[in-house]
Amino acid sequence: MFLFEEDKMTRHTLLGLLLVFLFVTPVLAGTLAGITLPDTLDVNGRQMVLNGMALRKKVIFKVYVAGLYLPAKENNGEKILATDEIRCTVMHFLRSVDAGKINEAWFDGLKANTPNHSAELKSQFDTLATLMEDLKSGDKLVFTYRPGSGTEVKVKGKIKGTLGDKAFADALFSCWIGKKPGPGENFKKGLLGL
Amino acid sequence: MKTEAPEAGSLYQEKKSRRTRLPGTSLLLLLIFLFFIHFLNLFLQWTVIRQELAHEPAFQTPEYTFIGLSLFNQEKIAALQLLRNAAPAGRFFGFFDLFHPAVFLVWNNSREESFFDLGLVVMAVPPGSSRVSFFPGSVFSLQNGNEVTVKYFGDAIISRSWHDFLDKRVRKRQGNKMQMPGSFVVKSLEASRYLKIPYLLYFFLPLLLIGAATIHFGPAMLTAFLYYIGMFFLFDYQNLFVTVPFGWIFKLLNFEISESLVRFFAAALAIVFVACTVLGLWHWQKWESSVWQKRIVLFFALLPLVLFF
Repeated sequence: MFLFEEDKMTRHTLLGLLLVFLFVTPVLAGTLAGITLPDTLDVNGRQMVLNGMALRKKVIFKVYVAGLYLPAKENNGEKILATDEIRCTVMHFLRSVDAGKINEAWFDGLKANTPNHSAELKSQFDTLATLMEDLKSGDKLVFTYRPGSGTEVKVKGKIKGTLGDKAFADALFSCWIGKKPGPGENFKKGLLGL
Repeated sequence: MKTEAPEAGSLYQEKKSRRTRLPGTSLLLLLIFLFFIHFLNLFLQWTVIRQELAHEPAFQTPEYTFIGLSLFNQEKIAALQLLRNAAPAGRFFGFFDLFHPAVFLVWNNSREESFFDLGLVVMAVPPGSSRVSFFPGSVFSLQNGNEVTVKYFGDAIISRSWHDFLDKRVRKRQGNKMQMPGSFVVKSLEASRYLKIPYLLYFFLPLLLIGAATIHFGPAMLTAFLYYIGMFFLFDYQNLFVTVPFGWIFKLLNFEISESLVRFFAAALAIVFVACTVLGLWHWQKWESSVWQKRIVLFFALLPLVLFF
């Protein structure tokens, strides 16, 4: 009888845990335009939190959803760029975009946010352009900056290379959270969690 | 009437052959064979890198000299250290050893960082002399003067931990030299004529061998599909299971496969391999397996580790 009670209790506990897991999991993630990004990201054993999400729209078309991951939440773009800390941006595409259009956006972002850039930075952006591919709906671009190591570029789930130093990472991340973000002010606010 | 006396052997009775081999001998032979496979694998990777640089380099400018196995060329390699600044704009000496599929001594005589093709990656090498060592598991280190960096360029499930381990080890060995940022671009395996050869062999050759063993010994040999489970974790499973072996089919059909679809196909294939292993294990329990069957399965179970290292 006692054993039976214990068995029943274990079953109830397991069922309870399963229900908690089912209901809690969606809360531990951010969702925007049907895209769900996990609330935390493990990069080299370092836990990062989803700082904010934003939707890039062009006229009426949804182009991509981006998420910014930082070691701790921060809503000041300049502070994020000034700090030499690990940071990561995930871009989840919602429609097909060719590599040329993506590269155009990088160079526009560089020109607008880092006007007096060095030739070295320009050449690093040229290299970045060679890494881009035509993207389809569901494809992802992931940029992870690690201090002292550079920015890892992942295209469609594959590491395509690691580029530059902090100056390159700052110029790249400025395209989204810099003074003149290419996708617009609202997009920047979304990433900063404002 | 039965007697208690033991049966005396007949003079004409065939003598039972005595097993002279020690129990560990077959294991030792297997280890020697696995080491031989390890060497063949290193040689294959070295050859592939050499062929890539000889026939399909990203840039034509640097001059490559391929030395071979370092063990037999110690004097030549030692002499190369004295060649500093005596070379043209960019010069490379490449060799391999029992742990590195390729090591490059690089002389970049320009005044600034320049991109050079190193077979598996196109890398920005600082001016002066540098040493680039490729480790197993898609990791390389770049050393220039007092600075050293360890980079990872693969997509295997466990490789990040492997990279972190090597990073600490290399840094410790080099006396915690300064870390430097280093740009590099990974060359696409499926687009290269040579770089995809190891992955094609890793995928198709064991498949053929396991198939032949299953036909010869029975379904218990499907247990050898353990090999693919090991490969799933140790190598870039998307490239190994889908992009490299079946990329040509998608190309033929003019179908550009998306990231999620590649992942789906690779996961589906992994599930098939797990199912084959389970089926093999089920038959293994039902039937008595021979020594050879055990050896073959053990070989395939250890093979991923040998190919990785």
